[in-house]
Amino acid sequence: MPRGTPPTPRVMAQVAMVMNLDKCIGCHTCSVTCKQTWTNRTGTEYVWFNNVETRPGQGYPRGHEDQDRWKGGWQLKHGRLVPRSGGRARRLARLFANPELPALSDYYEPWTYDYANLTTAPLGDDLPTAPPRSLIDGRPTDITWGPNWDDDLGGGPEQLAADPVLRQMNEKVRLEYEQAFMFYLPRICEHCLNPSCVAVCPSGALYKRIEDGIVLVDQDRCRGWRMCVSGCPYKKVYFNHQTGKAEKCTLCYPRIEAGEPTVCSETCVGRLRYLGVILYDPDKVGAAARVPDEKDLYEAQLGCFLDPFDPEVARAAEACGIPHDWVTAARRSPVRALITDYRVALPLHPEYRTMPMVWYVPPLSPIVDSLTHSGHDGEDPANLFGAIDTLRIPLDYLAHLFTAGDTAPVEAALCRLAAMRSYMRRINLGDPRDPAIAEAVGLGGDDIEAMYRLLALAKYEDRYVIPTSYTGDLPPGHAGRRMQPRRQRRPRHVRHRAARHGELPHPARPGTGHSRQRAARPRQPPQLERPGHTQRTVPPPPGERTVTAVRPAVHQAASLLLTYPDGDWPVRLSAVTETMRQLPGEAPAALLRFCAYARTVPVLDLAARYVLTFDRSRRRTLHLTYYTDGDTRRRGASLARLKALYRAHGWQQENGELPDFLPAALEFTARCPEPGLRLLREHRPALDLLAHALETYRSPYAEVLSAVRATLPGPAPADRAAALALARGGPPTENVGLDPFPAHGAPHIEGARR
Amino acid sequence: MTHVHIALWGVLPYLVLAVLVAGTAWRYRYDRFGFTTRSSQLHESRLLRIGGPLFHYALFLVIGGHVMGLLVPESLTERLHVSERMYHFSALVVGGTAGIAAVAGLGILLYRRLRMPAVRAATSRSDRLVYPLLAAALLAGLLATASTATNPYDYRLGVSVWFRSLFALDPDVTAMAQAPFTYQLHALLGMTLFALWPFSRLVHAFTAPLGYIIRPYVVYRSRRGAGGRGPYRPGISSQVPQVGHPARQAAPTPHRTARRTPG
Repeated sequence: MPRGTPPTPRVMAQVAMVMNLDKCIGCHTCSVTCKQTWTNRTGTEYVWFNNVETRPGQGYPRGHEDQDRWKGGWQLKHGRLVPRSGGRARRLARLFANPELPALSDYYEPWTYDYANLTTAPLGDDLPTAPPRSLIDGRPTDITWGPNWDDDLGGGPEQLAADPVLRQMNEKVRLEYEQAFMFYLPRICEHCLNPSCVAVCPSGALYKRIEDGIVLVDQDRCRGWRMCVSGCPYKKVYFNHQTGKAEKCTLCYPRIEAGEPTVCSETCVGRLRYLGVILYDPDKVGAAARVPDEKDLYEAQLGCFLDPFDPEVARAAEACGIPHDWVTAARRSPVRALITDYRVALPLHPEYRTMPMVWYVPPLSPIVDSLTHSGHDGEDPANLFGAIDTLRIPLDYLAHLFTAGDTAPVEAALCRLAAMRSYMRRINLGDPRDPAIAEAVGLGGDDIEAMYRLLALAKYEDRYVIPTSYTGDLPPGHAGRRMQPRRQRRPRHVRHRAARHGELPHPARPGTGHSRQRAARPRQPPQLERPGHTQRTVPPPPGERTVTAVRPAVHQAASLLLTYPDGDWPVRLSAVTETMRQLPGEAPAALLRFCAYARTVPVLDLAARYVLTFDRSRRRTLHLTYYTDGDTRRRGASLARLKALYRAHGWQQENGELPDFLPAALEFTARCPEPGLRLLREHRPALDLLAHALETYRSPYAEVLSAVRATLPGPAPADRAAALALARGGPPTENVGLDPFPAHGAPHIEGARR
Repeated sequence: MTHVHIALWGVLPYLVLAVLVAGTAWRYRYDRFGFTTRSSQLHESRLLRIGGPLFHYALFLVIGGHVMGLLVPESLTERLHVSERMYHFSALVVGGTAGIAAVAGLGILLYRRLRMPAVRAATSRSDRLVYPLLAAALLAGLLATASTATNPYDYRLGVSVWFRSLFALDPDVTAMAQAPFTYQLHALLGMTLFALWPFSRLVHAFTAPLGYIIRPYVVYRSRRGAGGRGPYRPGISSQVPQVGHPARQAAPTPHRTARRTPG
């Protein structure tokens, strides 16, 4: 690092996760899908990169939190951080037998059943059985432990007593505890900022990726010394006994790189996982991990995170080679919001000093449940706050999990969750909003509602904000690519944040915020006030002249109307109405009919209707190429072609929507009519299909589509069948010779998988 | 000096050396994934914790003894006023102890490998060949060391001279041909081991993690292989021209699953 540079922070980016424990129902779907993806091989039979534990309970492997025994993580020695299992010399001295390595019996001996016996057993009086056999040595075995033996407090007090966290607590609470509460704790690798598994690897095979902070094992460098297995305090590095190499959770990096959530997140039934980018200052990590008091570690780690809204930080980030869309993603990051804005997420076992990056929203449900059981109103704010304060036992247990025993942050987080419940309940019951509830926990009403959106509604695009990996040549503003049509709009929690920073587009300015005109090739943006502006020089025939004249304005208006109705919707609506009133023709009239309808509907209802209309059915998606290409490889090429077209005309999308998003295409057409119209004509079948689907659905949005279609030359296909036939032919492009595996026509629309 | 002697002590050592060097290079190039200790500690830890360190540390001493005995000429020790008797006495005591310890360690490890079903199941074909050879070579060496107590044969004037002459590319076949049988047997077994070295789990000896001593604790690497090793330097990694192949496969390939069907 060059010295003498200005004192801007050094910035690194980390893809982090937050899990909302209130929503975990312990279904183990994450564990199973993860295992199917990554560890269903010989040598990893016993390995679960993702597992779900019942707490209180021993976990997997048994009692992994007992660091006096396993010596995982770091310890402070004379103010210096040393791996708990010893420094370099001690590590090398223990190279030939690792005294702290868990045995297979600490995980469990994997087994199968001798199913063949069911059919090959000799005839006899007894029904043949399928006796269990060890998957390790093939011999008959007794099943005495499994990856989730104490699920749902199975085994009772006997098993519970071995919980290392319980043992740290007061002896007498144990039995009472069992009646008090239980919750599930899904665990993956923490992808720590200060990973001790990396530190103890003698071969240097484990490493933290610079770009996204994912901790990986280089399989070609691992020599099977097994130090990482004991060095990780979370016991999330495993030894593959077949290959003799260490393996661990990869945070599904191939998916993350493509902007997709991990398998465990994608398949989470409770929708409790959040993925996003966090910017941090790597130079602060060492000092933060060294704070003397364990209870300060949570705050110290918070101190390492950088605020991506701070222009200084954004500048420093880009100076450190972090792409612009990663900084944008950090601003939109749900993980950052839950950790640093709302402070409801807490790290797992910060006392290990590894600076973990998978954080947890502590569960409030057990407290609400126990209140309800005792005959109280579990959602009354006064009751809840009081209960959080008096139900010391769960609080203490949670504190030992998440804040090294300091109950204050856990209490604060639980109070915020309680406040959210109470505040939102009033709204749901039709009572006026009570700002006092929000203020009691140091939040604003807007914050609470945004938090509610993130935690309770938990929309897919709010939960996962993952930028694709750096490729160097992509234009700025290229955000996460999705494999399917999915509307990416700015999550609510970001909109609030952005508004505070004065970031939202000015409401008076027309434009959907879809685009940015590049300075290199400036074009006249269409003025809604001057709809007659056109670039055509040859005067068209009189009938068409009207159409041509109103075209850009109609397209721009349709683009505005087809974009998700959020905060600036009233402004958009009135701008469109005013302009359209001054224009002749059928298209403006259709738009006005829609505007008249839209004015009668509250914005929130309209938003819900929008989602139902466009997001919930593949027949009504706003993504044009989806109609012709489905989810095939061809769609990628079509998208790239669109993007290239936009770029060639000096027009750039800014909001991360796919280029085939109809409002984006319409805005492009409004700005660059000639290529835009060509584009729309190419996707005429898609427009027709969408229009027919909207009509069938009796959606008022059909008016907008009819306005757009009225601006296009040529007759419209008579019915859906005709449009479908056109769509099957695919867009009129020259794919011949480009596609190595020519598809036989476009995929059947119904067969295309979303 | 017969043709057999020339073949064994004049030609074979060079063949073995060639196989060792070329084999290791080949394996490093094409099977780096296979460079591993193939530890079985996961299956059995109690015996390994005694046998493993005992065998390996004793082996270090044994190797040190070989370096002393084979590479240091007698003239040098004499100049340092170490008498022949004293040298042999100490070699017998230290070497003998180390040899016995190594044999004991290997004995524990072999017992464990044969009697523990899980460890036995984890034994590969090359292990079945290498372990007996290793045991035989150790025993032959121990026997040769023990024989110095009674036998007046001074290996530093025979075997060591032959060994050094190999590196002078002028093998002194006579010196080895006249050595006692136990020495010859030990040398032959040793050469067989070296020839098998690159193709067995013994390669893990070449991966001794000495760099760990000077390395910073936390390793950062770039997704792109180029320029990513070593400490992170801001702005450097992103400016590396991104040419060549993408980063090496860093983790096991996930088994392909069906494309997702989102809800």
